[in-house]
Amino acid sequence: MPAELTREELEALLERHHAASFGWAMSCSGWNDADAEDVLQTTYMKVVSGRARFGGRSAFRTWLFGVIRQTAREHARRDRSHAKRAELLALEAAATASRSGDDPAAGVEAADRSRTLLAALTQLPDRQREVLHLVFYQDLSIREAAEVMEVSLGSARVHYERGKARLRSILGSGSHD
Amino acid sequence: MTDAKLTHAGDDDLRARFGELRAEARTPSFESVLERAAAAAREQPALGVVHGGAGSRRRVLKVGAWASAALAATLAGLLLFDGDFTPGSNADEQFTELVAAYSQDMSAGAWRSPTSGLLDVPGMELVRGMPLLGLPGAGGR
Repeated sequence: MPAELTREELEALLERHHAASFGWAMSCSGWNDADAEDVLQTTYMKVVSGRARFGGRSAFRTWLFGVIRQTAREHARRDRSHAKRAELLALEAAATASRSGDDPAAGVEAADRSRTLLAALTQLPDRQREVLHLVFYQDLSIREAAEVMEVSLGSARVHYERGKARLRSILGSGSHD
Repeated sequence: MTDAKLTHAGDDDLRARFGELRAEARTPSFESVLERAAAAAREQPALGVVHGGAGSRRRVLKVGAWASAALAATLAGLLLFDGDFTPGSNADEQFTELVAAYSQDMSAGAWRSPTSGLLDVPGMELVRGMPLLGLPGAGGR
């Protein structure tokens, strides 16, 4: 991978990873659509303006996710609204869990399961939530997740195992079916 | 990816749930996000949007120009300093002055008694001087 990419090449790479980037931005922004879009917009601005440079030392997606993560943190320092959003999600999920037996429709059930999962994820420490998202949502290896999170492989493994155990504990043993 | 496959064994339940989450994501269009990013970049001209990947080369050239100018200024300064002050001759003059001052101090410090002239009797230089033995005409035969 060449260190110097033209703007057209950068835009093509950004477009290829756009959906995954948005998912990661959502995860980094407390699942707030507006915040995630802002994060992604700032990230793209950094990339195309040269403020964030791809050095070719890792896969482009890994590097891009690192930029998104850093940008989300910068946004979070300015605006703590995603924390409030996480609280709302948790409340919403609690309400969903209480009425889950009343609505058997498959689509609604899937949506409820997603909300329950999101609410459970908000209860995890950042690193655990990040590694689980990167591995299960983004299909990254733990090694790649470690690169994005800027932690050692061993540390990422610990976060991964603890995160899984805790997530299953929150979701309940019914998640195995 | 071996790492991923090994660690994912038995995690199909979680993978499925995250898959549902991914399916529900409403991703905004790439063009709209990129367009807003470009607009934001234009609003912050200090960021300097890259056009056709030439920005980095331009930045390198700019840094190179500044470095060259700084080097030239340093060299010019050194040359001017050398021409005006001639450090070599200045050091010689300082050394000469130092020796002169030291000599003056020595002579000033060599105290002579008012009656020391009484000791300067004829033939005294023979007593103070070192006899030269073995030399003809030295009187040391």
